[in-house]
Amino acid sequence: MTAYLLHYYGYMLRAVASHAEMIALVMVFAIPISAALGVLIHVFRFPAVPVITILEILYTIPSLAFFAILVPISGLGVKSAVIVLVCYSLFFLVRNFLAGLEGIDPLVIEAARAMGYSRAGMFLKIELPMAMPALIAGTRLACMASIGIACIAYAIGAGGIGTILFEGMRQMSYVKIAWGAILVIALSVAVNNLMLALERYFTRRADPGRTE
Amino acid sequence: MNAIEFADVKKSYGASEAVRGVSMAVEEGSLVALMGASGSGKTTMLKMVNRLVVPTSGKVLFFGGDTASMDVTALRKKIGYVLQAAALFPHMTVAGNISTIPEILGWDKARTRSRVSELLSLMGLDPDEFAARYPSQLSGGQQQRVGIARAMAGEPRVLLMDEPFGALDVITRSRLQDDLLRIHGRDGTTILFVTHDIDEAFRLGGRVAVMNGGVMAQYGTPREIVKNPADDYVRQLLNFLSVEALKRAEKDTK
Repeated sequence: MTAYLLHYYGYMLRAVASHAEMIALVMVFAIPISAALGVLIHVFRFPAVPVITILEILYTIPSLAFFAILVPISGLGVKSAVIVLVCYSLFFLVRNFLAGLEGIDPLVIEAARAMGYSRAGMFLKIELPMAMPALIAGTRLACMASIGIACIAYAIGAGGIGTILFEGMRQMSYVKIAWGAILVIALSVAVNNLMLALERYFTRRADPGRTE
Repeated sequence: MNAIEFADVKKSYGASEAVRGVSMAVEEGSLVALMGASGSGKTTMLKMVNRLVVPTSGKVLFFGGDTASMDVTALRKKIGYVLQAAALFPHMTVAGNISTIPEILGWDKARTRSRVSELLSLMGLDPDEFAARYPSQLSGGQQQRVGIARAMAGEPRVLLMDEPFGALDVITRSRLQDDLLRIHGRDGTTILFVTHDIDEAFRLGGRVAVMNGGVMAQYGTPREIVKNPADDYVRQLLNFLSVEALKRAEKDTK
């Protein structure tokens, strides 16, 4: 185990970095798209059911099949992997964002409406800060799911920690498989903790007076 | 001048009629209590003033103008609104909550700040102690005081209050009722106050409107109602009026 680490730490680090980079890229696309969908549904009253249904259907496609479908369209590599992961992430993000917006005390919304807020003003000043914790919780779930599924994206040449895992399986090298698993878990735990800290920060901001 | 005028106003939700043709006027500078049991249509009446509820037929006039043809946000900026729950914005400080309407109205910072201090003092809350606190650090009574201050911040021409003291304990409620009368006596903002509590209605209202089943059973001063109840429902209601409130109504010290 240690021998592999000492010899290949650069290679391992690059795998983790490319994995994290892939997840970051996914979020760069998924968060703005889900925010736009959330605003479209919540503010502009676009019907939620068709959007959620489409996202649910996309989410039920097994990842390997989804990757395979995309290869003829967007080719092998990171691009196809990111498209698949964005689709999965939207499911968590949109649902959580809407749940957060709809979970706001209706009396608070009534008070804000009665004050003469414009629709945009009410969204930005009242609804968004109060729904932020739910949006961040959705982001955390999306990151967790993406980190796991991204391992399989090695199959279409997207790199990442999947490289070490798949090599391990092909060569029946328990050391490689173990290191691959450890790296994925470590990345998951690190991202989870980072997102939890963000979530706590925005929860505090949404109601700073509440003492835990 | 009438601040608010309802002209044969009706509101139905599907087959059920919440308000069945009510006409009444609220004179500028007066404090009118709109009282009735749950489902009597009193809250619906109140919400038709700031168009949170749109009447099915009839007109609601605001200082003579038809609210149906007014810009709804412009109308709402002239009306303060206080709900049963203070419904403060939890992510803003007390000062932030009270500054909401001045900010929407585009007041400068100095004017907003001095208005916040003025209102907190008026509501019996020390600005130095309370301005920077958050709503969940306040008691129910303090929250409602901030709710009233927030509604009054933009110097509204009319204050609508929907059972604002309903969730408070007796002592706090009584203090807030005194404060409301004091504030009303001082700056003479027109107030339309919804309550299901007959003592509260008679204590606060210069005039009391009694709603029953979507119609107006009686509209008059406490003295007129006590001396001359319009129907059996009002007579029955008066049985629940406390002795002190009855005495006060007979003398009609307002």
